[in-house]
Formats: sequence, structure tokens, C-alpha cells
Amino acid sequence: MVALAWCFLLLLLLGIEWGIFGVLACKLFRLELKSYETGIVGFFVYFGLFQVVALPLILIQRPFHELVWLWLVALGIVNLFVLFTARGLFGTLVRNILAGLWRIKGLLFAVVFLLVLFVCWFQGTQQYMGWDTTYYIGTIDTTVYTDSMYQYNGASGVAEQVLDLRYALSAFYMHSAVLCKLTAVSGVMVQKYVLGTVCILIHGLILFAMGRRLFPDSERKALVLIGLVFVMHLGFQTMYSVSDFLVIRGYEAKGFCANVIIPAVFYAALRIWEQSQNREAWAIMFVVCFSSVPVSMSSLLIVPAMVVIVSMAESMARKSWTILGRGICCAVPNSIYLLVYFLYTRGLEIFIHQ
Amino acid sequence: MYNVEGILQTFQVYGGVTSFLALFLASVIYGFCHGREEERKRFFFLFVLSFLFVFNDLSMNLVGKVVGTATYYRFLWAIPVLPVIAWAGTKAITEREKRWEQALVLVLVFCLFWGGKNSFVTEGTIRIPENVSNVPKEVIQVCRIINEDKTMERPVVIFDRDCQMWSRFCAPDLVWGISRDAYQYHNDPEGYENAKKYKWEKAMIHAVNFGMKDEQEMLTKALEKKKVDYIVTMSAYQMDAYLDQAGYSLVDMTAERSVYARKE
Repeated sequence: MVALAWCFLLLLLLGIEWGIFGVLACKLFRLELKSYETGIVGFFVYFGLFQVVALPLILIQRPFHELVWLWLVALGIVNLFVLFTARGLFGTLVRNILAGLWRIKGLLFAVVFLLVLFVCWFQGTQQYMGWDTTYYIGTIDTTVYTDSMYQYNGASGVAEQVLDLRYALSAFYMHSAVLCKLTAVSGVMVQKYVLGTVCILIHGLILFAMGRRLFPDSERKALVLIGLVFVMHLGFQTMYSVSDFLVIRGYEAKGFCANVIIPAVFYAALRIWEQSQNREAWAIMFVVCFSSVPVSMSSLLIVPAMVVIVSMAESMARKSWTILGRGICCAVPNSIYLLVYFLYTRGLEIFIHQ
Repeated sequence: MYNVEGILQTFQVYGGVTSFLALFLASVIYGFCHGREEERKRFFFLFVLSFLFVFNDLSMNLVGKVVGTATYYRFLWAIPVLPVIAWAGTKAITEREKRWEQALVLVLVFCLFWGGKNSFVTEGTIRIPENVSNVPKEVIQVCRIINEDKTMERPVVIFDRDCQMWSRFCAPDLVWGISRDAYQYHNDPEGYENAKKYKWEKAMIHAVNFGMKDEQEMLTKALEKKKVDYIVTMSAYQMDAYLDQAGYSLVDMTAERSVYARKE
């Protein structure tokens, strides 16, 4: 039960951190975001920064505990920076969230809230097991056990000869391993109860943001939208559906790609469609693209393809090619990962020295 | 392999027998008909560019070369099926003026949206986990038996398929003697004609996953070659004498499985 308590605490702490990271982005880039947007941006900035810290250590094959310490230092610096320079912004964010919750209170809110909680509980209680699941959870536990990153096969425990860049280019599971190391909770619990719940909650938050853009006159309509999407999720059980990767496999990076990253790209596109020159809209798009591979390798091709199509369509509709130029800029981080991955598939290998 | 039929098939598997793709199309047409001119243009260009860049033979081929065709279905996630249907549904519900009308439309929309037999929520899926980590107790016991008995840091273990997959959830120190590929592509009681480099692993699969006892020599060689320290198999197969001849003795049992260790 102590482990379960840790999971709840981790959920709370991660939520606070994403608020802090969102405020950091607002402060550094002078962005004026709604409170729900700050949370979404914070989530992506957090994983983007984690990748910046973790990826070099993975590639040069440093021990895992060095990543833990380095990440704690980075977190400390960010938290102190926000504490000393943007305390007011963080206070405003908290006040706005509480005021927003108070404003939308009522039966509809209660029903939607309970529905989302039910999906979280449902996801946590399922016993889906596949070879991929074994690999992902195994990677987390193996990382903590061997104090190394991607040097052993996550599923079999066999020592690898080369770094498998199909997985090692994204530090998502290393983040879960850091949480496991800090709390001594097992990988399966952190992934299923903490990250699985995070996937569902962030998905809900992005839907709310979409609802606010599609129905700017009423917050209640945004709640109805969330409710309908979640009802559909519970009834959309097919092999490839996004719902399968939310309700059953929400804790996998693929689940985050289907239900967090791609909807976030859509949200940024919605904002760009409203105001194609809006700085905040493009900042959201860039941050989502930048952190898409850090959260999920499945975004490698999907996200740049989406961004290019969305910005090209907008360029054609508005007859403005600067929009396409901005879209291409947003796709640059993924293109770099794609190039490295492509070279890897063509024989570029990083040998493991043990 | 790479053809329009393949793409259509991917859509069919994605939609299953649900009505979500049809509802999505209806919602898009509704949006197209009721949208402003600029929005119609946007819809049109998005539609054309999606087919030009993603949903065609050439792209499927290219994607296949970079990340593998098996992952092509993920491009379907980029179609916002559920949010678009929900947008139309929200409009249908909230544009009613009277409460009872709203309630009626809400009920209708819920009935329409519910997947019916494609629902995740069934009698079997509403369950309370048997323990806090939601890992079968049986597997936890197997891992504990090995952990208490082992003298080396990372023992090599062969398990029956289910136990092997779950074992990673509670014992990162155990090394699989049978690879994922061997279990995925050679998990059958047939002969070794197509097994090629997996023939030793297949011999072990025959023993632990099917309880076959007529390949003593082959199994003994496979266990030596893979340096297997522990064997986990179903107790119902009654493998004690057979594995004893291969040099492994019973350590302990759980409700369903027996754990054997290599004799010193």
C-alpha cells in the first residue's frame, strides 16, 4: 500500500512540476497562455528538457544513476528559477485553475469527472499482456537493476551488442525508471498507475482545450465534448484504435502518441486556423513537435507529416507561404531524429562497451 | 503488398464493426456544408494533401522502408475521428433549447456513440486486481522461489510462454533462455524443418510449453548450449523424471508450476 501511496504522490508532484515548467515557458518566451494551455505546454517542456538531459548520457553510455542526479539538479534549477522570478505567475496559474473549477462546478462537471476517473481506474485494473508490454516494463526495471541504459535487452535481460536506436532515441521510459529509482516502486506500478493515469488526464485536458476553442461561448460545451469522447473511447475496441491505446495500453509511449501528442498537434492547428500569425499558437506547435519523440518514438514520422500537411493546407487556404515555412521549422527536430534513425536502419551502429 | 487494398484493409481493421468511421464522415460532411468558405477550403486542402502525402501506395511503401509497414496503421491516429464526432454531437445536444429536448438528444447520441459489442466494459473486464502490482500471484511466487534459491547474480531461466512474459514485471535479474522471436514464430509442437537458428530454443519450447518428453538428447544439448540455470514449467506435465535425466532437479512448486534448478 505504501507503493500505491507513492503513485498518488507522484501524480500530484508531476502535476505541480508541469505547472512549474509551463510557467517557465511563459516566462522565458513571454507567452500569454490560458491556464489549461500552460499545463499542456508544461507537460511537453518537461519531457523535452528531460530528453535534453538524458539522450547524451544514453548515447555515451553513462551509468543510470548519473541521469537521476543530473535530472534532480535540473529540476532543482528550474524550480528555484520559477520560485525567484515567476512566483507571481505560478500563483496566478493556481488561482485561475481553482477559479475555473469553481466556475464549472455542477452536475455535468461531476458526471464528466467521474467518467474520466472511471477510465483511469479501468485502465489501472486491466491485465493486458503483450510482448511489447514486457519489453517496456522490462526496460524500466532492467535500467534500475543494472544501473545502465539500453545496454541490456528490456525483455530478455540479455546484454546487447549495439544501442537499439528504435528505443534509445526516446528517453520516455528512462523517465519512468528515474521515478522508480527515487521511490523504490516497481516499474509496472509506476507505468500503469502513474503514467497510465497521466495519459488519460492529459488527454482530457487537451480535449477541454479543444472544446474551449471549438465552443468559445461556453465551458459546459467543452465538458460535453470531453464526456462524449470518453464514452466513445469505452466503446471503440478495435485492434488499431486510439481508444485501445488509452483504455488498455495508455501507459505505453504509443498510447501517449495516439492520445496526447497527436491531439495536441490538432489543438495547436486549431489555434493556427483561428490566427495564423499568433505567436502562442506557433510556440505550442513547436513545443509539441520538439517533445514528440522524447515522449514517443511513434511520433517520428506521424507528427512531421501532420504538421507539414496542416501548415501547407493553411498556406494554400490563406495564400501565405510563411505559414508553410513555420510549419517546416516545427518539423525540424523530428527530421533530425528521423535522419539518425534512418542511418541506424542503414547500418550506423553505436557499439556498447561493457 | 503495397496497394490501395492494403490501406483500405487498415481502415477496416481500425474501424472494426463500429460505426465510428461512418459517423466521422457524416460529421465531416456536416462541417463542410455548414462551414464558412475559408473552412471549406481548409477541409478540401487537408483532404487532398492527406491522400497525396500519407494515404497512398508510395507513402505506405516509404514508411515501410523507414519504420516498417507493420506500424503504418498509426497514421490513422492522425485522423481526429472521435473529437470530430464529439464536436458534431456536442452541437446536436447543446443547440436544443428545451431541457427535455437536450436530454432526449443526449440519450440518442449516447446510444449512437456506444460501441455495443465493441465495448471495453464487459463482465470480464470489470475486475479488482488480485494484488497491488496487478501481476499474477503465481508468477510472483515463481520469481520468489528462483530468487531464494539462486547463487548467481543473473540466472538464465526458461519458462512456459505466459510465465516468461509476466516474469519481467517482477524479476529484472532473470535472463530469458528462450527469445521473444523464438516464442513468437516457433511456438508449436511441430518439427524443426523451419526452425533454422531457433532449433535449440524450439526444443526447449517443446519441453516447457508443451510438456513433450520425447526429445531427451536434443533438450539436453539445448540446455547446455544456452547455459540454462532454471526451468519453469506446468506441474501438470509431470516433468520431474524427464528433467532429472537432463540434469535438473525440482526446487519447489506453486499451485500450477514447478521450478527446476541445474544440479551442481
